[in-house]
Amino acid sequence: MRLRLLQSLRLATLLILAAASSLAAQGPALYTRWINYTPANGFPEGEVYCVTVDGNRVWAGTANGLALIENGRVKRVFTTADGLAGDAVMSVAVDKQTGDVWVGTFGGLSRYSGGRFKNYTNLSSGVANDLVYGVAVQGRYVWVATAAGVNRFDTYTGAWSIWNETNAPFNEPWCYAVSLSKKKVYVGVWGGGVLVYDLAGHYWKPYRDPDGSMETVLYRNQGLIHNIVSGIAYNHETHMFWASTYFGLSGFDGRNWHNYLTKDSGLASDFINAVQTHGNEVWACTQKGLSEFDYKTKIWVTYRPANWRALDAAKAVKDGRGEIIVTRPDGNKSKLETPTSPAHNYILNLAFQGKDIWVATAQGLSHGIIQSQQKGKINESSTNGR
Amino acid sequence: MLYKHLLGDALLLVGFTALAGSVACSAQQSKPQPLPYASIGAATYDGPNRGSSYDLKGPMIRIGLLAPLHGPEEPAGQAMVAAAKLALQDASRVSWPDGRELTLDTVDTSVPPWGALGDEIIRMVIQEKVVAIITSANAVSAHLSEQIGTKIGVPVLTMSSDPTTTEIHLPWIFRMGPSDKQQARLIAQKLYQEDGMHQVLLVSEMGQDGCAGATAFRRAAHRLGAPPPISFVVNPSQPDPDHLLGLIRADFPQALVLWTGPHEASQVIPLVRRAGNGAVIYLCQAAAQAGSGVAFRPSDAAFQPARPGDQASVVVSRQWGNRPELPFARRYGAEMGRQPTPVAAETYDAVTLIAQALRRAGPNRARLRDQLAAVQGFHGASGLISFDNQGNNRATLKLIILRLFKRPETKADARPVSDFEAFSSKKELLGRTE
Repeated sequence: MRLRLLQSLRLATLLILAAASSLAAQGPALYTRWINYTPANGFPEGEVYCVTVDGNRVWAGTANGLALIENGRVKRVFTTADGLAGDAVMSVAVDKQTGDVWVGTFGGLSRYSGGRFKNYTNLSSGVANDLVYGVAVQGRYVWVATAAGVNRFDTYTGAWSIWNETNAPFNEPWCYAVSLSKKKVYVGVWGGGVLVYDLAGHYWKPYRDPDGSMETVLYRNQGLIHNIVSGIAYNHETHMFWASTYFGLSGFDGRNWHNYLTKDSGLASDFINAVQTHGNEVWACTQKGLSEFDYKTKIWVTYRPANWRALDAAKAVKDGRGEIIVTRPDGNKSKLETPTSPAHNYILNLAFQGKDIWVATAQGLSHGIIQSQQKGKINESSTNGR
Repeated sequence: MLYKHLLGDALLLVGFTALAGSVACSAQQSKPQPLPYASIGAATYDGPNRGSSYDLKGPMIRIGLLAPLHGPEEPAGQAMVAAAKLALQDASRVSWPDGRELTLDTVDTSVPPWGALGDEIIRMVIQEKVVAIITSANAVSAHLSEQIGTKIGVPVLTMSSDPTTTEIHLPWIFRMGPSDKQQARLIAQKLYQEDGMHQVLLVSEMGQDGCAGATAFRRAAHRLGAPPPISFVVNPSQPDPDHLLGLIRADFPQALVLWTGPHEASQVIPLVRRAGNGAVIYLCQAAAQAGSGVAFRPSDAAFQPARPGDQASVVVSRQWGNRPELPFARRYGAEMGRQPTPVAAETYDAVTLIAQALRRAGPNRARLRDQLAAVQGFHGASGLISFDNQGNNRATLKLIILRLFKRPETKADARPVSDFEAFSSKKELLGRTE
């Protein structure tokens, strides 16, 4: 009986990989193996709000501190007891030149340098507000998205610049995310759309929902889909920026807008917590799974636990299986099951590590891997469970 | 006589213009309108933390309350606190499971919004682990709570009417009161359509709340084809009463619409009395809070519709449940020496709703959210409450006419009336219109 079960499992896995391989030949490669970091293996409890990769190190901001993962193990969890400005960590950025780690928390901004934290709060520095949602490093400057505007901190001089409704076209000061290109700074503003700062010209340009309605989207590619922007990401290869909102996904190529809703795309949910992009890929972190959009082939792929609808029920059985939904440009969908899955369907953020992805979910950090068809790998994924 | 003749001509002209406007409006409406590409859907929550391991621990179950407790808005905040405490008493008549106690964690929103207030909300949510947050009518505190509530997963019940709060379909926020748009449309309909008024002074306060409300009212007037109201913006730090008084005397408005806080309302209303032109004063719900000088009465039996031209009244839009037989209104009146305002009644209802949901859900924010989202037909102190799938209270709005008095026919007949409160206590009618 047991032997038959194992044979069935092995056959199923082979079929999945064959199907995945077939899909990969026509679209994006599929992530069929997931390793999850939860309290069971030393990871903090609760939501993971952000994740940042720095070579082999992975930094994850959680509801209960900043976790550092090295070589597949939770190496350390930093909290306010260690000097962190706040335990709820919303964003992390690494200065590639100095190795300093900048941490945006709900208690201010922290700089982790030389094994110690230095904190910047509304009372002790020029940071606009202690609710720091986003942080990004650009050479000597650190850009900070706060609940009361955007800061730029000059690490050489210690000078703070601030932009808010008094000196820039902010119609709302609540900045949720910041992303950088070589020439521009992109800021996602709750209720204020996207603001883009031109570094050479020293001016801001707003991009807002042209219909001005919070309850409807008048035309599909009318402009930014909604003014409540939850995340922003610049793609250095395509030179597009992408904005996630709680009501759909928007991309701007410099001339045209490209908007996506669940109603006519493979997007898992219009409620999107964050967006990340590289190459031809756009990743939407939704409340119903992680949706990848291949901009070249127009294929959507969504990853989530197979029993995601029951996952949050009080007595849900977490069997660890995952599902992959592939949506083709003609609307046809196919579904695959995988032995492992992201830790939860409620996705909060994402980071890239080569071909791997690291996914911040509501109940743990997940490491997604594109699995090869080697037998050893198959067995490993089959037996590892989650 | 000549004046009356001219006035008649002017009215005719206005009537003609209005007619032409309405025809134009009808013509516009008959044109086929493009269907929107998409409507923003219901605010579902597919997130986590409903499991018992996410239940809040400790002997206290805390409800966060954001209210102004210092400065000019203090009476409004104290009214909210008093109402919330009464609700807590009522909700705790039956003991809570495991010997727990339901308590309030009150935060003063009079502090600078971009500094201490954000920190205080975070303290409430992360350290004190409040199970839900109730916010005042102030948009900034509502927005901060909404953002933090959405990120962390905490239900927010707000009195704010700001459109960027009320028109957003997010799963964690529930609106106890009417939105700016709802209030503006109701007032505009009464004022322009039912009462046939055409000369309206819109007084709003500087800042987000006043700006959003004034915009909503201008849109509501435009929607009805009414002439745009004369606008006056009150700067709380540099009030200019002489300018406003001059404006009231010169323009002789038939009605004033106040989109301010209660403190500004308390300054503007006596000015209107001093001007003595008997203009009808319409207050948004936030303006009619404690401290505004507006006195609510416990009876709604003597309703008479306002007739244009011969009355002056103070009108507040609200749901109506403020009857004396309601235990809350009676007890609030005994304690505070006045009847509850709509916002106070809504605060009482917010605490009661949270308490009732807690009885079913236990001390768990996600399950509590689910229970709140399912509220239908709740008979509260502020009226019937049913949340739609976007967290908005679907209850019908009403205009409460608090007091009526004679409007002079011409500017020359204008006389200052006596002190507002004294006058209102002598001659008062109360009623409502749909």
